[in-house]
Amino acid sequence: MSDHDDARRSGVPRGPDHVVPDEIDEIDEIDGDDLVDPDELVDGRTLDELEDYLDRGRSPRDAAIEASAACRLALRALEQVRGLSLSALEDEAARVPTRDDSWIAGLLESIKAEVVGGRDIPLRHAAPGVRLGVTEAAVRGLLRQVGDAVDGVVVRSSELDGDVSEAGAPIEVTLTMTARYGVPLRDAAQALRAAAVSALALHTELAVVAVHVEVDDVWLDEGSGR
Amino acid sequence: MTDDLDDLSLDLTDALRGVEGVVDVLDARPVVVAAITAVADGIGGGGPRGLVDVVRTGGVLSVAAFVATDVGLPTPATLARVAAVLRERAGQAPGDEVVVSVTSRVIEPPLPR
Repeated sequence: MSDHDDARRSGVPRGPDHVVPDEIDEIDEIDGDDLVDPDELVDGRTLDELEDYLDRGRSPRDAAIEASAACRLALRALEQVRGLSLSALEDEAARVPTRDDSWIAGLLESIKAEVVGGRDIPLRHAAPGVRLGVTEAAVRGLLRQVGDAVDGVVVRSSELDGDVSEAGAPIEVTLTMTARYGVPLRDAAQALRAAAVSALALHTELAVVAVHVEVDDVWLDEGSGR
Repeated sequence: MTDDLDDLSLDLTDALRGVEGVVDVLDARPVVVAAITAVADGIGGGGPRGLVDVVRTGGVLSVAAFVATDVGLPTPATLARVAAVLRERAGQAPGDEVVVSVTSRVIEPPLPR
């Protein structure tokens, strides 16, 4: 696929250096239907573009992608999904076609929704004139990573309920996870909850009063023969 | 940003990359400014640019930094170190009151170098 095709796919200009004279007429003919809905983009990039960048080992370094928090979070999430279980998820989607959307598309939708900044979560600092904080997207990305520490678990989504922008306000966390078939669900949920509490205590000052874990699906391991 | 603030932004960006617990410095400039800069760089080749947003209004120098922080270290402590570096470096301009904002927008393991 050419750069020009990429520009059409992403629906955003790629800068004057990507426009050469023999392409100008073609650009005039771009059908609006080919343009990607801005809601489908992560800081101007499609998930396909970010996956291609991952495929290339993030090399050569794309300064614009690397300087974008949303792209970094999306890259991290895509990497985790791949490393953990994407082949198993795809295998499951192929085995049960009616669940195709809920497995892959649903997970990608969740990632896209999570990488947007969201609310600011303040951190205390004694000095006047200093304001420290963590974005809600960073915390949700952290909670997704937490699932990596628990064997056979993929965190599909997370929610922070409560006024996170107010120091000391009670916060309830809800994690939705998917588990590999055969994993003891109660143990996995407990391990995930413990890891989440520990990570939130290390990186935030949120007053977490509850962590709820919901198991919304089970996938069959590719190698299990089931 | 004026030239002196551009230079300060670049200096601060480089300084933050050396702070313990900072995985990377992210673009803190408003989206429109960042987009215009990217286009300008495409035309002119562009040299290195700072990613820390520095604005002087009256006698107040506002410095805003977005960073990715190391998942292995407490983020509040990392951000406090970042704020200390920003205040020290930006505060060298005489007469300005310095206001610092530091936000972690990604918490992740350090990237392989």
